[in-house]
Amino acid sequence: MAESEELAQIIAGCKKSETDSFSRLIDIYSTRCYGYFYRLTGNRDVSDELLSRLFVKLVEKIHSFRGGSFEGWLFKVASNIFHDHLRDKQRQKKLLQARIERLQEQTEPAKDSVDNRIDQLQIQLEKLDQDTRELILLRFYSQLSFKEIARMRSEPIGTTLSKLHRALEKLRKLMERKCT
Amino acid sequence: MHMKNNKKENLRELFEKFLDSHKAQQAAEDIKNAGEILQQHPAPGPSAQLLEGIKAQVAIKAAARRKAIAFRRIAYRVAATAAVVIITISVGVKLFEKEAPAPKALALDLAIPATTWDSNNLAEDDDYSATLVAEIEQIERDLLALQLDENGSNGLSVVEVLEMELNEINENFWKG
Repeated sequence: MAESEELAQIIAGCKKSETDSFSRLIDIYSTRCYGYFYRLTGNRDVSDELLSRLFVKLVEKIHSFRGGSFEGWLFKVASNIFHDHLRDKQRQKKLLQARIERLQEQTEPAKDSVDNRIDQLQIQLEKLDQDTRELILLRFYSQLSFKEIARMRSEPIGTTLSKLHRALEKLRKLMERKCT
Repeated sequence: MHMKNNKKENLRELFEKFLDSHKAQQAAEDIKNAGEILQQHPAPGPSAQLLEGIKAQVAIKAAARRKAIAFRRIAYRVAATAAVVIITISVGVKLFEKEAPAPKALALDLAIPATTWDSNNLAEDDDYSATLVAEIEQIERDLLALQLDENGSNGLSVVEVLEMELNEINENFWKG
């Protein structure tokens, strides 16, 4: 069975509120969505909460999906959940505090382990502004085309291309500087 | 996790819409190289425990939603049935109102039994009618007698007889 047909069946099952279909949907998308949230927040606990919120929200929202790119729709919901989270002032304060602490830890000598490499990327990502960071992560985790990302962000494709190019270039330079 | 391009997007072609060929090639390379940085630094995945928890939450929510949908369907059916009943009653009442004069006429007819109307001898059917008939017959007889002058007035007219009677009454009254 083709991937798209299987996904269509899963979505149809979800629309009927079938538990198994939701379970399969979670298996398919949880890693990507979790990565997206983690890279945005840099916090596992917050990412855990946002991922839970996302899939619980899907139970209510799945009926509003009217075809087209499911990834585009899913990551739009994920993005809205992240922005709702940011609007929560208290959580935002905690997030900022956690970031400050991590930036302070940056001065410690780097170890060449997988965990450390993950942290290095996280540190450099956090140096980017929120919109830029979100654009990079959306491109990477949602696997959407530039056209779809531009549509999702309600901006011309040229603007999206230009922003992402600059953002990735900046990230690359930050990473290179850190390594040298 | 790797940044696969599901859409088979040709970045160079895309950039060439906005940049010259050389710069477009460079931009496409930059994006590819920067994308590799993310591939080399994978984010941690969700724990199995978290996923189990989410699945349990979703199962509860989905069950509640199924119940809500079932309840809504029943409510719609009840509402539809109620609407049909209300419409039927409304239409019935309107029809009843239109046909209202007919029963009244029927009621008037029924006040006098059909047998009475059909009978040739009313006296046998109704005492009151019998009295009326008797009086009518008496009047007929009196009228006939007057016409024939058979009331024993010794050749005087009825008017003259009445006049005499009135005079007599008047005299008696004044006499006390």
